[in-house]
Amino acid sequence: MLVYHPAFDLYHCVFRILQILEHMKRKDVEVDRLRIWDFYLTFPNEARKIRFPQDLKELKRVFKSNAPNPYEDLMDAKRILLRMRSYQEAALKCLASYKLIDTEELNRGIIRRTDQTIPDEIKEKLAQLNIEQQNVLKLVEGFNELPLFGKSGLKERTGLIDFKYDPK
Amino acid sequence: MTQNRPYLFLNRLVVVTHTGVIAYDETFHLGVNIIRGVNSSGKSTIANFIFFALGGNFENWTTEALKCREVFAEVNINGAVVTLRRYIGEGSNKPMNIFWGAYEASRKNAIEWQTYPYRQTAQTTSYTNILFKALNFPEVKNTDTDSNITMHQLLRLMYIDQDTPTQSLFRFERFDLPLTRQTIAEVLLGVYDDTLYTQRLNLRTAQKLQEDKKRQYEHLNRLFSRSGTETNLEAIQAQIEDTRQEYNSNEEKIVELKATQRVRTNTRTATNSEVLQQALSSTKSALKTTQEQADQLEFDVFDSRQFIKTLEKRVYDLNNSLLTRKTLGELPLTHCPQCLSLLDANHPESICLLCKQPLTEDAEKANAKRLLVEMELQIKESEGLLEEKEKQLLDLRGQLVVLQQRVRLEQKQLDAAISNVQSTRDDRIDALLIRQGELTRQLEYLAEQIKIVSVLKQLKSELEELAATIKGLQLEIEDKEARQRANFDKAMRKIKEYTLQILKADLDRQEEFKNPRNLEIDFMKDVFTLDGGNNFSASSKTYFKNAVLFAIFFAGVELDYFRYPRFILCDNMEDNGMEKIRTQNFQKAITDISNGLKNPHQIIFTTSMVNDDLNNTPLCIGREYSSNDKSLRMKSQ
Repeated sequence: MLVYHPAFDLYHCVFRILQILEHMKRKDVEVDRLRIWDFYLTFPNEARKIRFPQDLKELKRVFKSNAPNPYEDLMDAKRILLRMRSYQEAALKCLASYKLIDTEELNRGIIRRTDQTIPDEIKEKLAQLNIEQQNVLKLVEGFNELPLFGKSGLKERTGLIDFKYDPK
Repeated sequence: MTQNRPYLFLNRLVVVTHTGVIAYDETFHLGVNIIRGVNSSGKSTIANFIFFALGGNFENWTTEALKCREVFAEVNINGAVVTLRRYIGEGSNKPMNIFWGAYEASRKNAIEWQTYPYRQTAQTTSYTNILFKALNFPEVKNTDTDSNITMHQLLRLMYIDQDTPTQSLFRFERFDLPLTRQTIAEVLLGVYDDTLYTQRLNLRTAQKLQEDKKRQYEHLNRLFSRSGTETNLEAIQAQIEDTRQEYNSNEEKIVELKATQRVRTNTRTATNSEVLQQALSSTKSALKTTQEQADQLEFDVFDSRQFIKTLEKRVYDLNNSLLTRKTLGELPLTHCPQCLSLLDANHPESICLLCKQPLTEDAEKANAKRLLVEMELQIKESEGLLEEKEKQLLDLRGQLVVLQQRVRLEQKQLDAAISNVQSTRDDRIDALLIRQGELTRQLEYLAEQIKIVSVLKQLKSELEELAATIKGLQLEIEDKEARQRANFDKAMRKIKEYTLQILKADLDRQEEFKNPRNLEIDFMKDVFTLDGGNNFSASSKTYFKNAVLFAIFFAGVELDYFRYPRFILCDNMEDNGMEKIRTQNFQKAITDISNGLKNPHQIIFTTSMVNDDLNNTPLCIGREYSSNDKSLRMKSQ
């Protein structure tokens, strides 16, 4: 029996978010986009199912070649992400309470790192990535340009979050 | 169709100029409202403002009117006081601003105004939608044309203006579809029923579906009967049962035949070939078992590897989680994790910064450590098992090679020994095996048949259901249509009654009006005739038209199921050389009928020749306008 899963571990969620924030090339990120990235970092095998845009076909090949693993595959990814939501939100609040991300921006739905330094001990671990995680973070970079909302946006391509009622 | 008598009454009309001067501000009441003034004193401008403010589409503004910026109308819709605002200017399809409250309150509140466009799209709601909802009107769906019934369209029958020719009932419109006119009349007369429309649509869909299914059913049925097979599920199942029984008994026979040999070998000395055969078949079965075991193990090993890999990943993750907890715990909390407000930095070390409880090693952390230990144990155990399995697998693979070699060798020996001699027993077994093959194929075929038959059965029951749905819908539609016809006939009788009453009240001018018998109205063609004709003098035509439109209004006030909002606006009483005495007589007739009505209603008309009995009574709105003192005052007094 597998009793532990990092998807529902608050501290691991904090760890993953820090990992993404450290690796991403942009200054700030929308909450929903970060949630989707975090999901793929937790379940790299799920990246097989993304509708990749044309210019990311190399990454598509990498992820599609992953073999299905009954211990990792999800039946209903959308629901899992919904269940992860409370952990993700708590993790963001936690980061804000340690002043690692900007509080005011968080209230507006934007995540931005502050200049508060991350303790070296974690920072070292954040940099250690296996190949799968490296690929997911490449995905993060690759999806940087993709709009979050609307048709062919990140939400639509991953099918993880509803996009019909997005602002236009 | 039960409705709570929709109504729309004008409480107050305010017009503001571009310089912010209030050019017009009058309150209106229930019953008759008279706007007086000589020709060109701005009566029609006021009428047009009312039409526009209520949602009409108006373009031909006078220069005087264009000096004004906006028009406010405080209205009472089914008991709700609402203020409507529209900006005056060139161009059509202007949006409407709506404030849910009285005019006075609206002037103090700039935030709660809402703006709605003229047209409705998939995403946006139009002001017509809002006003219809307030009036409790159904949404008028129109599939055949994309011209929805709007507030403007309804007002075309409620506003009698001067620009429309006297032979038309509806206010003039450049592109005017007959169906639109028909629908306007159906909506106002309370005949239109949106559920009926939906049902008609459902009926059409159901009928189409029924056709499709029928075709599918017939097609399958034809194919089936042509092939001459059973179309009966039970018969096929019986056939399957028979075939299966034969198959099973054959199987037994084969086993039996094969077994007899073994018995014989025991009783007499085995021939060389029999010994060889026995050896071969036992080796073969050993090979088969070993192969199966190896396959199973291979799968197990693969599965275990994936399991261990996943476990290792989780251990790694949990370690990171513990580290994050530990290191972050060493950072100072600066903001409250719940409300994200700044925390007080000065506090004693020994108590929690947030909940103010004394600090202890938390149980959660211990739990995480326990999990970690457990998972590591699990990995170790699984790895041990995996190693064992891998060893077994290797062993089995070695055996496999040996067995394969042996089978090949023994086969060769046997072949040499028997040199193609076939016994009768073998012949019989062969025949049975061939029969088994046939039976298998037949079973497959029958299974296929069963599938088709059940599809047919399914289709049949679906068709029955559809037929029931269609029948039900048709009945309901017929029922509603009959009710509609009855309501429409009743409405038309009432309208006719009022028209004749108003015509008879006319002065002795038009011969036909003295003893009118029959009135015909065709809303679709926008044609109306009295005893088959409408070739009266110009002034009589005007009189006749107004009689009909007021009759529709009065019928609407009286009959419950009408949706006509019990409001009429008339601006053409003196058109086409109407005599003073005749128009005054008409005003009196209208006022008399109005006074006799129980239900609340509102009539607004303009006149330059007001009836002396009505002049300077509370029925009059505002001053009597003249060319020096027009209805709109452009400068503040």
